[in-house]
Amino acid sequence: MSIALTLKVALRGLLANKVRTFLMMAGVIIGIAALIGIVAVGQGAKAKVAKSTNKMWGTNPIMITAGAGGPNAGPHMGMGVGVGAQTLKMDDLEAIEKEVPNVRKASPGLLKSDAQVKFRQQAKTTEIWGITPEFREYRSWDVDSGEYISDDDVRSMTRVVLIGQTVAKELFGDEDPTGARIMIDNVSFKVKGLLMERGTSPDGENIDDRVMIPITTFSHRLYTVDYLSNIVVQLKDVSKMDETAAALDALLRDRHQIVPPKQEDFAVRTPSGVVKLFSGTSQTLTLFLGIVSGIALLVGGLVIMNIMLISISERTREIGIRRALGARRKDILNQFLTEAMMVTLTGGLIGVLVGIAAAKAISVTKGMPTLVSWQSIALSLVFSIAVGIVFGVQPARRAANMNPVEALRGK
Amino acid sequence: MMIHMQGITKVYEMDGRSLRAADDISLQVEAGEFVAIVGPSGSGKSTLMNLIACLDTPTSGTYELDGVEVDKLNDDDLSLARNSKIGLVFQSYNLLARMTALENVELPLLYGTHPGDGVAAQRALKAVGMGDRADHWPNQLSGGQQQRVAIARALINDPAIILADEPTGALDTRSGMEVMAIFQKLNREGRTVILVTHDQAVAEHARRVVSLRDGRIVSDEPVAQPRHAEDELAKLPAQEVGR
Repeated sequence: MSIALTLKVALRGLLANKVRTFLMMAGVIIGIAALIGIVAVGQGAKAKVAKSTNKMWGTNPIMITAGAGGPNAGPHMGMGVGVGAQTLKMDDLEAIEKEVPNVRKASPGLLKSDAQVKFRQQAKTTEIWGITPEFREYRSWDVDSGEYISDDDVRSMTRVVLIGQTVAKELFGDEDPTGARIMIDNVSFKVKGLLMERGTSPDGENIDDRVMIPITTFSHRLYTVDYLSNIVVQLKDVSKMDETAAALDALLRDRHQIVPPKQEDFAVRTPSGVVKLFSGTSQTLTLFLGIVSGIALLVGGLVIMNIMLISISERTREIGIRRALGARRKDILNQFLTEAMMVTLTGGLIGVLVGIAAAKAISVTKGMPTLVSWQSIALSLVFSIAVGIVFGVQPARRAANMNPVEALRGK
Repeated sequence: MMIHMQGITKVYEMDGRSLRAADDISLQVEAGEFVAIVGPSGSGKSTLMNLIACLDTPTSGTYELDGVEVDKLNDDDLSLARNSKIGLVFQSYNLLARMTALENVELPLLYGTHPGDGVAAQRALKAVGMGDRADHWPNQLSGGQQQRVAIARALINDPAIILADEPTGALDTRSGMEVMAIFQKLNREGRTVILVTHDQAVAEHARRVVSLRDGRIVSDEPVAQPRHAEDELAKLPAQEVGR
C-alpha cells in the first residue's frame, strides 16, 4: 500500500472521531509548547547575556582582576572587581606580555569606586577608571562627542576626562559637557569626550555611571598608587582562550607564590566563564520547564496509547473486514501507527505554534528576551513523531495481530 | 480445478477439550460451478467457509486454491490469496461505514498490487445495478443495496471464486431474491460461486449441494432442478415492491 493511501486511510480514521483525536493531541500540544517555550526563554537569556557581556568586555579579551576569589567569585563582572586590592603590579603586566606566547597586548586598568565629581554646584559620587587608549577597542566603547583619551594623554598625564551619560546628565543636564572643566576629588579636569550610552550590565550595574581618565594621571597625579586594579589581555588566537587563561593563571600563581592553602590573590576571567555564570539562573528554569515538558509528553503518550487501545477494540470489526479483504498484518500496523504519528505530529505542529505565541507573550509581558530557533522547532517535530511511534506501536501491534476470524465476529 | 481439498481437519482446543470442527473433509470444486454448502448450526459450515476463504488454516490436510497450495502459505501470502483469489460476501454486508459505496468497492484494491482509479469500481457497481449510488454512504442504502455493494466489492479483483456466507440471511424475501438473482447471473457468466447457508430453499438456487453434519460431509449431490431467482421475483406479490 502506498504512503499516500496509508495517510489517507489514517486521516479518515482520525476525522471519524474528532473529539477523541483532539484529546489524543492535547498532551503533545502542551508538551511541545512547553518545550518550545523553554528553549525560547533559555536561548533568549543566553543571547542577552552574551550581548551584554560583549557590551561590558568588548569581544574576546581575558580579564585579570586583583583581589581574592576564583573565576566564579560572584557575579560582579565589571571592572568593579579588584577595587581596593593591591596585589597586581605593573611588572605582572610586563611578565604577561613577555612570557605568555598567545598574548597580543596586555592593558592596565585602575579604578576607584567613590570619586567625587563636581561641576559648578552639582556634585555626585561615581566610579573612576584609569585607562589606556586600547580600552576603546576592546570594550568597543567610543565617545558620542568630543575625543577619546590618546597615547599623548597617557604619556603626559594630561588632566582630561571622559564622562558617562549618567554623570553627564546629573552634572550638566542637557548641556553639552565637552570642553567644560569639572573637579574630580578637588583636582580640575577638562571634559574631553562624552561616552556613548551603554545601559545596564547583566548584574544590574549602571554602566554609564562612571568617568575615565588616563591611567598615568590616575596613578601619579590624581592619586598615588603603585598597583593595578586589572589587566585586560587581548589574544592573538582567540580559539586558544581557555589554554591561555590557564597559562596566565599559572604564571601569576608562580609570581605571587600561591601554594595551597594560600588563596589566589587575583582572578582570571574569560567571557565564556561569565556567560556560564549568568546562564546558571536560566538553566534552573530550563531544567524545570524541561521536566514539565517531558512529563507532559509522557502523559500525552500514555493517553494516546490508552485511547488507541480503546479505539482499536471498538474498531475490531473494521480490522477484521480489512484483513478479510486482503490487508496484511503490516498494512494494519502501518495504518494505526500512521494514525498515531499523524496525531502526534499535528499536535506537535500546533504545540510549536502555541509555544511561539507563548514565547512572544512572555517577552512582551515579562520583558524577558526569547528566541525561537529552527533547531528547537525541528527537535520538537522529531520528538512528536517519536512519541507517536513509541506509544503507538503497542496498540498498532495488537491490532495487526488480531485473528481475522475473531475480528470479523467483532469480538 | 478451483478448489481441491484433501483430508482437511480443523481441531479447536477449548478448555482442555478438543473440538473437531472439520473432520477429514475432501472437496473438489471445478471452475464455473455453483455450490451450496448447507448444514445446521454447529455442523462446521463456518469453519469450512473460513478455511476456503483463507481466513483460517487447517490442522491437517491439503488445500489447493486455483493452483496455489494454500495450506503451506504464511500469513502475508494468505492475505494476498484472500485479496486476489477470493471474493467474500457476508451476511451482515460488512461495509465500512465511513466510506462511500464506491470507496468500499475499491477497498480490496488498496491491499492489492495496483490502487483503484474509480473506473473498475464504478463498473463493478454497475454490474450489480448500483451504478447510480456510488457516492452514497452505507447508512443511506437499504440492506439489499448494501449487499449488492458488497458483491461489487467481492468482484473488484476478479477473484477465482465468489464465497458468500448467508448472503440473504439479513434480507427480506424480495431483496434476498434479488441478491440470489445476481449470484445466478454471475454464475451464468462463468464465475465460480460457493454459497454457505443453513436455508435449504436458498441452497436450491445452486447447482450442487454439499451437506455437512458434525464437521463431516454427509452428502454431495447435484440439484436436479435449481430454483430460478428471477422467475421467483416475478411471482412475488406486487405490494412488496416499493418497500
